[in-house]
Amino acid sequence: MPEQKTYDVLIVGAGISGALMAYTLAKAGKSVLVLDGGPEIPDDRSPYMEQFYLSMAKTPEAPYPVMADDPSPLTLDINSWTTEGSGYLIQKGPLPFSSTYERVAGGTTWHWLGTSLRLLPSDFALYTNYLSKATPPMGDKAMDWPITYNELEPFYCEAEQEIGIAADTANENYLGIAFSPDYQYPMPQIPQSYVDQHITSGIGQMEFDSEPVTVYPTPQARNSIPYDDRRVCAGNTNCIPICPIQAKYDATVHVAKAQNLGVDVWYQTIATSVSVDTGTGLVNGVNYLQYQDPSGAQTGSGTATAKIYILAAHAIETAKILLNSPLGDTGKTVANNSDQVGRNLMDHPVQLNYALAQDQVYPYRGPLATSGVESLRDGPFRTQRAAFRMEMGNEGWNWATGDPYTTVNALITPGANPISGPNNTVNGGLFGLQLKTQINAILTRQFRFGCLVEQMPQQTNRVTLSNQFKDHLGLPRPEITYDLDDYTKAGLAAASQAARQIFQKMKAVEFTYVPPAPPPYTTSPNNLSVFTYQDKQYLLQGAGHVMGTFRMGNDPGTSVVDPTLRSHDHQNLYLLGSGVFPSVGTANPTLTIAALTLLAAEAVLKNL
Amino acid sequence: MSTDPNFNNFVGLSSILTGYPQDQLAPQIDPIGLASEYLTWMEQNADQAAFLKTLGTFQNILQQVASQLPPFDPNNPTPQQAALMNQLVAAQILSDPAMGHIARRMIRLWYLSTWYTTEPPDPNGDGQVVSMNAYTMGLAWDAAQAHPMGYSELHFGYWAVAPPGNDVSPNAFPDVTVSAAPAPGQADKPTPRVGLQRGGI
Amino acid sequence: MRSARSLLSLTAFGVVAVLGLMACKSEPSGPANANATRPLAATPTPSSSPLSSTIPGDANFSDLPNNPTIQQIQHDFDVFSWQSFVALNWPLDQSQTIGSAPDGDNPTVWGTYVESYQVFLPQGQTPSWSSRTVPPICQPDGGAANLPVLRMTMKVSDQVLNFSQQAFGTGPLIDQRGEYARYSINLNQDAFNYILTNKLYNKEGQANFANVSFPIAASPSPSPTASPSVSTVGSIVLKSAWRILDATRGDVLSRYHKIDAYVYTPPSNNPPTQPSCERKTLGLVGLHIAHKTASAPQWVWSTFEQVDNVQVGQNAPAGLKPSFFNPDCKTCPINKPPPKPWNPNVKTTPSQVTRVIPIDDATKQLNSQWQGFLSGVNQNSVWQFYELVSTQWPTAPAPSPTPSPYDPHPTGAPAPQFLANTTIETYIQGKVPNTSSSCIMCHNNAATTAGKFSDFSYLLQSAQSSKPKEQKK
Repeated sequence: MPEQKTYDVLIVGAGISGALMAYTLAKAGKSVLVLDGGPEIPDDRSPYMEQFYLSMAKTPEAPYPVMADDPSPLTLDINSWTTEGSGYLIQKGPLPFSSTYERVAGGTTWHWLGTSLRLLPSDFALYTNYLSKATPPMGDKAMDWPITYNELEPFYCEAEQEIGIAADTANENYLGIAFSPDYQYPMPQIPQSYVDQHITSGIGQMEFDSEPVTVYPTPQARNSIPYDDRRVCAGNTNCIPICPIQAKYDATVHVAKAQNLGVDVWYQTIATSVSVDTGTGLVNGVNYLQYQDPSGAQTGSGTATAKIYILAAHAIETAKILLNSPLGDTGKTVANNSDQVGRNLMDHPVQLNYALAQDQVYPYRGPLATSGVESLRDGPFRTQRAAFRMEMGNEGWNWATGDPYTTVNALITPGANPISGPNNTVNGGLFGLQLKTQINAILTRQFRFGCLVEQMPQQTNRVTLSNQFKDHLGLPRPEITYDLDDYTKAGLAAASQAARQIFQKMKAVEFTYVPPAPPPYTTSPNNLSVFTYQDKQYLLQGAGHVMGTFRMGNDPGTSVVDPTLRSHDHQNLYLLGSGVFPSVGTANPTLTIAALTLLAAEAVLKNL
Repeated sequence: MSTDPNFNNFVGLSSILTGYPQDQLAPQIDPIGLASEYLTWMEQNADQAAFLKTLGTFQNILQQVASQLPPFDPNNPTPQQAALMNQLVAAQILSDPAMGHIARRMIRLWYLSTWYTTEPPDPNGDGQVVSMNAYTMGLAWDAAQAHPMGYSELHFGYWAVAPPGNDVSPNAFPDVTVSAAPAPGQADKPTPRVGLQRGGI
Repeated sequence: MRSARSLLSLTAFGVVAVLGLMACKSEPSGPANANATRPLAATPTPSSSPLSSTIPGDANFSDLPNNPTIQQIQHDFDVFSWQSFVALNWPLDQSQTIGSAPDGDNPTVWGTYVESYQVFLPQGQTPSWSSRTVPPICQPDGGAANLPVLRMTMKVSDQVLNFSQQAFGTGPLIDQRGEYARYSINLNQDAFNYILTNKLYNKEGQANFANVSFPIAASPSPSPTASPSVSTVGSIVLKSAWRILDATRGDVLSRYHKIDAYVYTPPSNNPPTQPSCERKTLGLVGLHIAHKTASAPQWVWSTFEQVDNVQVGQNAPAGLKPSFFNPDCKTCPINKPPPKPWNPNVKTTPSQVTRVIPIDDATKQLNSQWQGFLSGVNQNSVWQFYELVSTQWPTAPAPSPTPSPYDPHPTGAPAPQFLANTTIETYIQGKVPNTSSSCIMCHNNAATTAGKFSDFSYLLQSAQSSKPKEQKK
């Protein structure tokens, strides 16, 4: 580890916000130290790919090292979530929080899909525009963003150039999103898939809930031309969990650029708490532990200092660090005068609907998603129920049912029913050309919608520190209390309806299966997370988006950071990432995370 | 060519069981050697008595076909001979408890690159992926006119057009009629989630 | 799966002689009987030594039996690699034999081939075969305008580092004195003419060009009297790796092919790098030869190394150490790039390199044979100190450019599956499909500046725009 050196800025976390911040500051000549809990970025992605190939369950975490000293939630934890302590997150319910994140340098962008949508202008004032007008009114002003779309827009443009987004502005101006005439995305649009085209023509002219149903190509952080010394997409259909050829952007790009500008990165360094000089209110150190063997004992500890401190460890870990940092003997914790740290935990709950098209649509090809129905992301209905976007998947029923494995195994096993449904006459026990023919008949027709629903913030959805459960280094594990309110559930129900109506218009046959669950919620015999809304059951999935736990706002009484992402309570502390989102809209968060990082970087530089 | 005496029968039977020609499963010029790899795997992991009996029975089936429908070149069967081979494999191997077990394990190796802990696989899909090359050459993806997720040899933009057809495509809508999602309580066995989902957007 | 082109034969079991059941099916001669047939080149039978200045247009399969094994075909491609290595390294004066000069070295035919940065020029200008522009910083004294200028400082795992000023990739190769290894890419006339004729040297020319397809040889073997500057051998692209040699620091120069060249570091922002240029003596440590042939629409990929790279060659002088491995360091991390920033002007941690996939015995035998031919010309020949690592070739050649509907296996099932040169793919050696070094698999991702498949060549993506630069927002 490097010897004593004074830094201008200390950053905790080498994910996209930490890496982009480090790079931006270093370009301006500042000295930066980044701490990351994960191991050093491998020289090439072969070890991750090898682990991926040999994994039975190809979850988003499958390629990445599992480390007792640097633990993170696993998708498979959901199967036993009601057994407290069985997974890294201590799930108190009533519903499980099912999204995961990575704790390796490069962060969750290792396994993200690459979808790079902007939030809509209306998304920035959910309360003022909609919730306050509901009958009865819902929510409060603290749910509005303290900045407008127009204020963030130049940073969206900069983030799109910095990351490398492929899109055509002519196809992305809807629901208030507009581009200046001379603005161009850095790369041409990714071609829409055959599946997309089929769904689009099947939809034709259609409305849902008085809004048009329109398919748009998705802006993606994925090379459509050689760009930034990376290859073009080869349609490995593996964005989640890992792109084998780095055609998809991940934050190791900016870690490398930052290191080339002299930024120091300490790996295997877990930030545990923040120290504050209670006299000045300024942060005066970040305490850390270090390890050598990922499941071994602690091998070091210390306190890192700088002029400005930035936490960029994503929404749950940053909240955990802050909650673990007592503020002198006030009984409070750092940066939490508002008592909002850890609260308002939000996901984009996902409704998966899947079907067989009448014609062959050839999924399992191309990037995981290249288009979506984006026209339903806004409208007057938001006074009554949550908005949603409908991601069109190119991977057949892989997410929905674990295909091709599930269907192919059932086709092979005598007596099995490959497609669940009361009247299906496809039986298992096939071999030879008959087997191949049925595999083809079924798999080539599979497609799915994954609808991301805007979750309304709730004070009671929160991260706290477990009193009972610790990780291998003795740090408290995050304890999660999580539920869906009716506004959000109504959005999920509407999404399911919209998918159903599209299937009907396409004459596709729906196979969405929801395990039965006793009311009011929870679990089928398989411990899957099922909830009930208006007497129907729905299976709850997470989008992998973790948001809201240290929201931004103008009022220090109800928010943690100000509009420049600086802590209201400590003038030399900034918090980055989707934890600052006061509301979540329906855009995948990464592009907004990057734009906010660049906005905050300007503020940090002014303060140095 | 492998020097393992079981090799030819293993490949020949694999061809019948998978519906793929021998020269695709085991090309004469083969830089990967997947068929040898699977044969070795079966010899090390399957019930040996049942495995050898299966291969011997297959050998026997070839002789039966030869005697019923001469002249018979097993590398180049007539449609009639191929149909008879399939029929005898179904009747004599797949219907037999022990040999059917072996045969279905072979089919899962070729199609899904996976050795499951039990045959048939349990609902959690416990098992192991045989090797990286096995994964990248799984037949299920090829049957779907696609490629294994994580391994594409194709070029940018290919996904915008339909893939080339194969010997089983185009084909009719699978033989299902489903009028509605299952009512609560009806599905006593949830959809087996063998191989589990990836999750996340 | 691969196309059906070779049948498995069921050998006889049991006594079914009457029906000839499961007899081996007889094959027509040659390794392929479908799509791309390998031509049986009518190359003149060599006399005692096969050393020739004639660059072969394709491998010679005339020695193959019916139903050849993969090893037998591999051998023919390996011989092709050696023939190519010898002919490309032949002296410019064709009447001389390779290595016959007293010092055992000679300027090479391929050394006269145009370098890639001379083809893809600033502002997308039209290149010419013979233009050689030397950066002004290299010529303060108006120095030699005809010396090569080596400006590339790393082979990036994902792609070739061209004149992009950004340094990104798996990392540079560093010699035992902390100096960066240098690289160069050269194209032969066939490849160059294709780019020139089709205006692929700038973005505008590439914008609407579909189906890039570099030419193969017009005939299987060129006329022995053809001038070397008029190529009829098909497209050849070479990538060479060099290290700075210093006899005063223990380097044995007589074991290397050497050039006198400018080592030029272009300016960069990431990492911040000042331009620099120095004239140095450099020794060839690695050589890739990519050649598109009739039997290999996916190209044939040959790679050679100097024998002392990761361990010293046989019969090396006492005390000689490998160029990129320190036997005395037991704690140096293996195959790990140096820490960033990667600034070629600053000496850094030497690379500790090992070969992950050993050279196989058949290749080693062939290497001894050819090294014997070369030293037979002149016991001082530098060329005997080079070895073939292997040759990658498509076992199931797929038609290329990809027809419509596309071929699902455009890589043509390469053999061997993985191949790496320790000086050029140092940090991506291994056996993980799609990520570990495989010439064809990686080059299969090559594209033009418009994103279209570029026939296995990463050259085209370094083309610049001929339009005036717009003001950046």
